[in-house]
Amino acid sequence: MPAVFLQLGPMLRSLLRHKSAFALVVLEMASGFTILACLLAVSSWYVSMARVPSGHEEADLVQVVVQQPAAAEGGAQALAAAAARQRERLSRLRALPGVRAAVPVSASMIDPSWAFPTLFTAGPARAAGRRPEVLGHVVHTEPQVVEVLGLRFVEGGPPASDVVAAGGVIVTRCLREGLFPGGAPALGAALRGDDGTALPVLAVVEDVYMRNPLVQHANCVAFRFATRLDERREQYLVRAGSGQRQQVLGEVTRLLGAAGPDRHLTVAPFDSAVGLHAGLVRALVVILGIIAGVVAMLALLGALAVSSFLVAERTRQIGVRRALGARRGDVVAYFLVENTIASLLGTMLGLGFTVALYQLMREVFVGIQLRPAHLGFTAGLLWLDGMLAALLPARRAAEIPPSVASRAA
Amino acid sequence: MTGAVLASRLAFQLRLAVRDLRRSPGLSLAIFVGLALSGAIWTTASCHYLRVHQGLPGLGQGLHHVELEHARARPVEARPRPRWDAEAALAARLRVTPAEHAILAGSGIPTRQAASVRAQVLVAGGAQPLARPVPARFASGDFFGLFPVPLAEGRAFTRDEDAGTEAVVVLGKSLRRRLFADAPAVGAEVLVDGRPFRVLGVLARDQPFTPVWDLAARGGLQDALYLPFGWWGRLLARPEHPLPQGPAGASFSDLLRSPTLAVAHWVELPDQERRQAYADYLDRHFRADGRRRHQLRSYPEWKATFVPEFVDVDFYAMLTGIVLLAAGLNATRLLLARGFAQASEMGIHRALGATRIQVFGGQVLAAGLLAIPAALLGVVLAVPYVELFNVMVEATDIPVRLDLRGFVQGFFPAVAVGIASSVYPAWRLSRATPSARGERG
Repeated sequence: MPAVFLQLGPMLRSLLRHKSAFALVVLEMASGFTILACLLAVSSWYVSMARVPSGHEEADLVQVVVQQPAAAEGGAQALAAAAARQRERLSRLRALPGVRAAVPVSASMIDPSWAFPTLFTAGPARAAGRRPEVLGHVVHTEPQVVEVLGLRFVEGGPPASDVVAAGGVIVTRCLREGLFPGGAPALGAALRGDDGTALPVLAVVEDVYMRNPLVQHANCVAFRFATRLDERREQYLVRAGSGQRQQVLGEVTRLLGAAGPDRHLTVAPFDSAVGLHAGLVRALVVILGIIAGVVAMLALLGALAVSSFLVAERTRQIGVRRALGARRGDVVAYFLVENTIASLLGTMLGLGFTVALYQLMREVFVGIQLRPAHLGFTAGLLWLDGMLAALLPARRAAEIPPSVASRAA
Repeated sequence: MTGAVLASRLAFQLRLAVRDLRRSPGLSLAIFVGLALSGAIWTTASCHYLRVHQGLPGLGQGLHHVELEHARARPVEARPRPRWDAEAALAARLRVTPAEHAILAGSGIPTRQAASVRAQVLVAGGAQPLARPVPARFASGDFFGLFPVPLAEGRAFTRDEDAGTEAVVVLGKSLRRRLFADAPAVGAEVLVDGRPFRVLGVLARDQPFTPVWDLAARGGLQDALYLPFGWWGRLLARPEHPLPQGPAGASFSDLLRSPTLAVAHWVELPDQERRQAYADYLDRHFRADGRRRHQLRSYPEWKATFVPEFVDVDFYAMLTGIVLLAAGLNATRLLLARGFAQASEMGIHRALGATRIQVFGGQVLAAGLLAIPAALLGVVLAVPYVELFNVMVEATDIPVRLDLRGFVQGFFPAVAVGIASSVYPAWRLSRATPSARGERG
């Protein structure tokens, strides 16, 4: 058995002789562990939000937004003008070379705007007086959205035009499982949103994100086949032929003409990696990373300073041990094991603090998870920090000659 | 004891403290750096906290809010509560429909009333010839009177200008800078949705992160400009974050008739008589099934009711507080270690007549000499960190500021932690007896 383990008893007694100092070491380790583990969990949560796959086939997808003043001041007149404008623009978009399909949409994943979620209800009551409620988002569009987004059907299929004309929605799996749990039939069942209108479920598709992922329930979507007109804003998604996105971008830009003092245009490749949420997450992860780096450095500095000091304090003791036959390696191992004991106790205490803080974090960062990997990484990092901090002074201590033992205190 | 004696003793203690610090430069530097870095992080988090929680001073006592009962105010039954549902429920309590707004505004009882709606408009002008979409607030003429938002240039539009739907606008600070840089803005023309508007005034400051007048619109981009309320209907500007409660119809006119929650409405009732009269008016118009559907609150009552929920910035403030405490623990540990080495020296001091209080005070003074410049450096280091946030985070254009309040909230806690960290080691050291020769580990 390595000699250092035979010294665990004396080591612990030595640590306990300086209870207050030891307690401070453990507390500082614990607070460092708590801070780093929490920062890691929160950063992972942000990253998971940014990396959600849109669920669309993004290659060859183009986003088009046209903003301009209303064509008239009156309600019905302006709406009719907006409808005519949209019909004409849509038909010209679809006629462009290289365009496979195009649809108007009321929202998309890379929209910088956000909206309150809609409260959906549907299906039989789970218990007396209680109906399932799920938060999600309504996207007003046309049936060609199936082709444009590459929606993958889980139940049912692309609805026929006469069925669509009668009204109905295609819902994503998230919405389906929330509203019709336990395998209850969804197709044909009625679904209600905030406006109270009952709409039959025509089909179920795999989840797609139609809002910023940082907005919760962005993948719980009901595609409603009724264009929601806006007198001042039009938004389209255009599916180009394979490899023809650049060409389509040019064609669309030429079709729409130039922006002006009363006209704003967005014609851009659809890329969820450059959405507002991705930029925000990158920024936050950098900022949190700086905090974590500073905390790790503080732990290292503090441990280095104390270790150096304690080695200086124990010069005579080390000299005695060397005189009694301890090798250089034994001296280094002694200090490293001592540091490991403190790290272990600090980690255990820090784990308790972290679990307590996690309950609070769950209220703020909904869906956050404290994984064993986070805790293991943090514990390993702090242990390594402490080991590095103790190594240099320990090596200095190992150089102390046995003759120091014979010097007067 | 005369002042001169006190001063000379203090000077002596200061010299001793400086000497102590210089005798262990490594430890002193470690404590200094630890406090400075953790102070920088704490100061940054404090500035964020202040940005979110800073209220608007000077709100009048007569300011009142009417909460109307809406179905969407009921939260979903889920734990943890989805944040965006909580935001929607809040909006349902704070906002009213266009039809409800018309009733609230039609009483003639309040001395002033401020309704506002937030919607996107296209703005061009000055150094920006091409239109860009910006969030605008359509506000009634009394808005700037009820909410003391200071103006740096010009004036706000009046009730008459709102009623007459005059083409006038008040620019936010950020938009003014973007459009006009150093050129005069008041009197200049900007295009809003292609129509010329005359700039009447410019705000002096960025909008509060948490605007009292429309709490549900907090976070995100600030209101870039303010237009008279009547223009909302003329420009057909659909509200930015509407909360539908029933079928809305297709046109903008349908929206105005629908139960969509979009309008924030505040009134001024400066005396009890008006408050009672308005309460009676609300009773007549907002009852269902014999039940009151409204709640009239003064601003202090409103503030006590709509207490901000614990959000991410509060969590970060707490976490960075732990960072500061950890730096304090580190300092305590280092000071304890130094104390062990100084025990015999302190024993000699005690033998020469130094009292425990003098030994204690000397150690605390030494810690203070480290903590004060460390905390100052921490505040200085927070400046680039705050600017980094402002540059990198594009989700909001309301900047985090390191102002006097941020300085106070960042500096003094860091000093307090630094001094408090020395209390235990100082107490231990002061217990050294005159005969002590110190302990060797």
